[in-house]
Amino acid sequence: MQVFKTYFKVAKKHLGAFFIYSFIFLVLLNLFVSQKTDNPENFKTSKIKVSVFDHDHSNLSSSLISFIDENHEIVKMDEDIDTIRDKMYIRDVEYVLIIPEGFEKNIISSGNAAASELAQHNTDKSLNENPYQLESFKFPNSVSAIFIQSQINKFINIYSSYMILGYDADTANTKTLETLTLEAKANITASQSEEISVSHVYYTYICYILISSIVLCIAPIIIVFNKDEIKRRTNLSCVSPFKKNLCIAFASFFFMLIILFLFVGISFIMAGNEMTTGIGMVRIFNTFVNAVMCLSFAFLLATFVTNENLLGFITNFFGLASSFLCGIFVDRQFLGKTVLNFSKILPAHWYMNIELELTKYEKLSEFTNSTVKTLTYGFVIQLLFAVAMFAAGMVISKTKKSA
Amino acid sequence: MFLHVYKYRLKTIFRSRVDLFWILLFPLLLGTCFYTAFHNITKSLEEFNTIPVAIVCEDDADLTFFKAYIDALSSEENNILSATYTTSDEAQSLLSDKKITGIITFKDSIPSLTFLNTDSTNTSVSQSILKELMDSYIQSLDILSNVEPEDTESLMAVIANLGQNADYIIERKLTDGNTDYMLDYYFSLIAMTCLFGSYSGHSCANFLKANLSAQGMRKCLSSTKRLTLILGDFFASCTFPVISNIILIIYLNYILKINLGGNVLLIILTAAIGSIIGVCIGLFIGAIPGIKDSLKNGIMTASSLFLSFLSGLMVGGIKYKIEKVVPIVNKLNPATVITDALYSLNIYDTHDQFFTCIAILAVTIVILCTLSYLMIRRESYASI
Repeated sequence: MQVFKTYFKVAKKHLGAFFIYSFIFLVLLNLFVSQKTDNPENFKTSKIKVSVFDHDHSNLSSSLISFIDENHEIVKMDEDIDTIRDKMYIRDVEYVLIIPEGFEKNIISSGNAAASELAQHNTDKSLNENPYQLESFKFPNSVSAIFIQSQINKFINIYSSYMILGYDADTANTKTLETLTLEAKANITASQSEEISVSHVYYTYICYILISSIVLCIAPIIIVFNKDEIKRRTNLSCVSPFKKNLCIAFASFFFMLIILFLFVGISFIMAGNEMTTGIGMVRIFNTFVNAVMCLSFAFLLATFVTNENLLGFITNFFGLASSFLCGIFVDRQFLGKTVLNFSKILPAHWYMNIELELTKYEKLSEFTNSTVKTLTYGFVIQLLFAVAMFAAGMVISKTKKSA
Repeated sequence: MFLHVYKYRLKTIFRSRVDLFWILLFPLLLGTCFYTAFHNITKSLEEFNTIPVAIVCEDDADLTFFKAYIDALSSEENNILSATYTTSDEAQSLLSDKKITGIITFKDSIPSLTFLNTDSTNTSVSQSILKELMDSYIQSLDILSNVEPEDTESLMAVIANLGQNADYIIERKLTDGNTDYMLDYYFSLIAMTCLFGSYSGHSCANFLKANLSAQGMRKCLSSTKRLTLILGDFFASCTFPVISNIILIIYLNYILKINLGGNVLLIILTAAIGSIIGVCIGLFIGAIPGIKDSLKNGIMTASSLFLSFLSGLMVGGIKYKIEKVVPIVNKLNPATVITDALYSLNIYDTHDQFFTCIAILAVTIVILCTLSYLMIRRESYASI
């Protein structure tokens, strides 16, 4: 009990740093959660953020703009190159279209010319001897730009086709808009539920937060107990080293539980009902297993790191590297196979395996055999990491003692 | 005497493993992590790739016209589609395995589409392109229905016009810089390295104050002018983060081949000024009396990471969201100002925005230096 009390006396001295970390991490968590996006349930054509600058102010340009407006999101901004660069760089705008003065006039005169050529039985003549009528700003080989450009080109193609057929400008315009209303039917097949929930976002980022908060709060306390002077003094006391170590381990576990309860408690506030389901409970258990691994990591570091700065360096590097390589900060679909294979040596990979598997279900009863297998592997491997780190810590501390 | 102080302080820093880890090694390792995670991301997210599609014909309808349309889209010249003609079951299986973007079912001479739910932006736009192509097919049939079947010349002219694949849009050059928005992560990394200079600044304050370290006590007894001691220590403390930043920039630009955009010398200048800010922050925190060393370290690590987070180190684009809600935070956050300066070097043709950022950083340096100097200049300690 004495060691236990002393542990929390030392912990009390580290409370300032603990509160700073916890506060900042909670702010980070909230910001991470606020980044979540919704997933569409039915097929919707993608809307590209487009800015259009109309210098023609004609019927045709207005029709083109309203066609773009119906299919995409028009973003208004100043026609200034630096503003365009700013907005495009941050993807507030993905495509910029500039309709030059005389656009309608050119199209109509080319159309009339093509129609008169046709009247003279010359079918080789088409509208576009000089096809470059419009100007754009876009990213190289951008899929969004290819999409919207195909629509704009189609609009002009349809309009010019009606011109070739001899319709006047107004009728060609009306018929173009009528034709554009025709669409192919598109369905979404019912696939696995991949809706992004608040609890999923929260429990994805908590992996990064946990490692930093548990290691940076608990390891410095163990380091204090491992200091030579304090160790010698404790060895002189009537408390046996085994009992002392057991007390430290128990106190560390207790402190880890406090940190875990704090973060889990907040998830109940933020995600509400999602956390009271069976899936929510599995998420909490996964976090608990991960927290045990973090505790072992803290123990391992405390055996050979004596400087708090170095401790901060190792923890932050380990936390950030795990987050980037295991799919916490970056979606796994963007990580290469080599990166994903490499990340298997990190516990966060197995934590994320479970978390990603859980996003497919709403109830525990829906679990398939392969899901149960993924979950079991995830839990067992994380625990094995914990055991391995603890064992490595014990070996280092024994070696130090014998030295 | 200045050079003597400078030289010995520099030696101390180079022998400090903690400074070496945090200021030199940590950014290099994190930069490598970024490279591993991000170098493929923009390509996957934004660039166009040929759309794999399965085509299922459900009746004995005449496929000639539709097949010609698909063949044109799949030709080497266009390379928009990669089509596989198959059965309905096989197509469903390919779709479930995400080997194709969608299924085109051709029934009653009309194509319809089936997609899988997706949360990927690129896949979603590819699906939209596929739908757009099928819309175009149906719309082309509608235009042709306006032509009298006997009027073969008009028919041929319209088919020629629709099939010419004309591009009416000419591209204007956006910038000479790199428009990959993943670059923000690297800018934030450079900003973080600058702020990690605070460790150097902190130890500088420790070595100057008699109530904080034995070296501080010794220095207080020295006959050297206090200002010479402060300047020597300060410049030496700045030298190491500046060197670390130069190594980081060279590593990113020339070894990992990340195009940081802009003039490398101006990027280094920005990083150098940013490093001085970092040192000043450390000096300021280190000089605050009555706070324990461990807490000061905690404040420095947490604040460096938090400020870097706000500039986009962990969630790209967060600074633009902050700019919309509380723009003053971006102006006060040195990490964001550093990333803004690097961004302006990359994107703009002129250097107006860049010099504004440098001016903001210079003012911050002056304020922090003045406050720190007021705390560490001639101090008298009570006789005990």
